[in-house]
Amino acid sequence: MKRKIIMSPPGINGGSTAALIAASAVVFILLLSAGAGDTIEGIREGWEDVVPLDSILAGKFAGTWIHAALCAALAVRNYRSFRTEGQSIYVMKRVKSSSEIHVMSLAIPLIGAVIGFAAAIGLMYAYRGSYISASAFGQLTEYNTFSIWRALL
Amino acid sequence: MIEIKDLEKTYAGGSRALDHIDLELHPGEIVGLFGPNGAGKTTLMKCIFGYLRYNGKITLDGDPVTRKNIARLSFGTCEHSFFPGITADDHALFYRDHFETFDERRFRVLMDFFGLPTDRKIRHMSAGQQNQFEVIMALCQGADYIFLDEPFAGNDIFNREDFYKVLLGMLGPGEMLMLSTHLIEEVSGLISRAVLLDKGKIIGDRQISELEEEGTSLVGCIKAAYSYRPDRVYEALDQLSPEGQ
Repeated sequence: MKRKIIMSPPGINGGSTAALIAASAVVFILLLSAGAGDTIEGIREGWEDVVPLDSILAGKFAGTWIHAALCAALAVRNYRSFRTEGQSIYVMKRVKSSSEIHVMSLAIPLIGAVIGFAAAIGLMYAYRGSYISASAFGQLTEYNTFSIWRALL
Repeated sequence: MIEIKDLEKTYAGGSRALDHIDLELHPGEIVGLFGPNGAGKTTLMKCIFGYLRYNGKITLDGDPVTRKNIARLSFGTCEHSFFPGITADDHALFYRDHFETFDERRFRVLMDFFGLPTDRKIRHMSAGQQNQFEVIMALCQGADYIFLDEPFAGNDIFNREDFYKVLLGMLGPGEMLMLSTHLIEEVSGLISRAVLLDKGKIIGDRQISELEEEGTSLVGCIKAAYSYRPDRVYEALDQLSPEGQ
């Protein structure tokens, strides 16, 4: 019989997980929206005085890291859940697959973090595309356009 | 057979919980594990499962206890190893999914016997019901070797007495049950063997049939093993009396 894959610890409230992810998504979207606004502003100003894109976006991706930190906190909470209100860890140590506990604890946080980073990178390239198309590309130095990764840090 | 050879467990800080334990546990036995608080009963069980690090050798049919064979052992503990946030029915689903030998019929019969709700989260059950549920899951995992550590806390005498009877009728010939409990008199009719622990050492290992042949009660045997002094009660009362002050 094929075994079901359980992606969160049994009994861990799906609602609170969803709320945590939703809260981090809100932070993420707000900061990215601010980034979009600043990019447009930067493009306008850029015609006259080229402002490097990484400067425009500096700090705007902090939400990505907040989101990643929340995902990490979720993973810690999932692991801890096997030792709170009892010791269900004892049952987990008797199941056949040693990876089971890691799948339950890490699956959703990892998926959340990957989605977060993918969205950040996607948006970053969208900003870059807008920036390049709206700016006179010839005016931009390589530093202006290709150092956008610095904005993420 | 579970074979324990020269088992030693020393906790951080240097206190020795188990001291050169040698023990064999055979299929079909119902073993009572007795000893005062701190004797090492829980530590012994946890070492068998590998939940604690230890020195010595523990084997199950000649092989070390690992992920490959640990499902042949089950553990019901007063610390509780169920998932408090899910219902009994969801536990059955989880166990069915993770333990090939999960005994669904036994699960249903025992849930019914104790009158436990199957659709209520375990954290919303009473303390006594939670203990009963812990025992049920250990008995239904489908393990060959079942370990129960203080399983009857919070249960009334009627539930316990009836449960012993159900247990005796339920266990298969290949199932071993080890019970750690202070309810010596109550389980004396249930167990086939008594292992006595004190300060991390085995100080007695007797078959109940031997005791019966000798005309010794289990309680008497245990009192003798632990050098029980009935006069200590009178000594304490004497010291408390006005004349003793």
